[in-house]
Amino acid sequence: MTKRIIISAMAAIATCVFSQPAWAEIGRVRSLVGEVKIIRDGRPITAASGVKLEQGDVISTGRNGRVGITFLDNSRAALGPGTEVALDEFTYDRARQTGSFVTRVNRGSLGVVSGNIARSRQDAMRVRTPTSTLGVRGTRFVVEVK
Amino acid sequence: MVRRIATAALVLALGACATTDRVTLLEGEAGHPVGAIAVLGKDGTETVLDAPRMQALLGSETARVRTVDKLDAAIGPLMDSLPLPPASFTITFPNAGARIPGDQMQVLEKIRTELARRPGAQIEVAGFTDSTGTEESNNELSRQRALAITQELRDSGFEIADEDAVGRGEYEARAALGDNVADESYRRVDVIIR
Repeated sequence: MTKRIIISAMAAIATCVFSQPAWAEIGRVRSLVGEVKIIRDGRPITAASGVKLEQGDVISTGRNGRVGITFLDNSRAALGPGTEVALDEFTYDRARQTGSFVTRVNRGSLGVVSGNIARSRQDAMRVRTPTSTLGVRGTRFVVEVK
Repeated sequence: MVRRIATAALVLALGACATTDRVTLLEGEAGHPVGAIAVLGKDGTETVLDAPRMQALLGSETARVRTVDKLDAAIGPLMDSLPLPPASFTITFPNAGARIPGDQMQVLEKIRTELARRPGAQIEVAGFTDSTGTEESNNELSRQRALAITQELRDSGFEIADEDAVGRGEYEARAALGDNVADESYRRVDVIIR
């Protein structure tokens, strides 16, 4: 009986893991200067040009840090000095070029050129700040959080 | 003296405005439309910015909107640090074929040159077909086209993830023109470098 419960639990966990493609690449670090940190599942990973980013990653820059990122839907982002941005949600159907994209700016400055997700549906791309939610309907903008 | 203090206080107060969270809409990139940003209220209301240099000051209350004459000095360097826009290339194929035509080798050369400029870039290779033939055979043909280009680029030392080399079949052609329409613009592989 116990064994059966364990097997059921393992099957449930496996289903959960495989139905969540959260490990998939959503974008890449393309340029960086100064101090840049990436936290994935609570642990730091090395920040370098070409590093693949995943849903849930939190990226931060130091006082002199800057980082430029490209995403699968052709959107692009730049983080200025003293910034922390969380890539909370990114789902994208490459064939249909639709999806949803939610970032959270905890502090600092985020410059964005939006891509296919913002075009696919009203407010499919959103940016959250500590007090507000922004619906992105295109295309170039800057969010600053003090 | 009093006036001077009042002026200083006003300057400080205006300066304090700059310390508020804010969103600023900028000109579209390279002739693209400006678009819009909506500040979405919890009660379903929205405040829309739809012209360049419109700015919303964000707080717990309703967003305050203004248009600024001059952008903050930090915005220029921030937008200058954006990565290059994606570069897109198209390789065309003959009807029903997945072998790369000789005259398309020059496009591959341009792709290699662009890739050399962008180390660490993501390379997406997407194959397409027109809508003649069955859906299944077109899925396979588009995949073969994508794999032919992927192999060429891998042989040149560029890294392409398996999930980035895909066949999209006739989906796009059928959505645009309907089924069973011959059209050479869909017999292709798109290579997107980001």
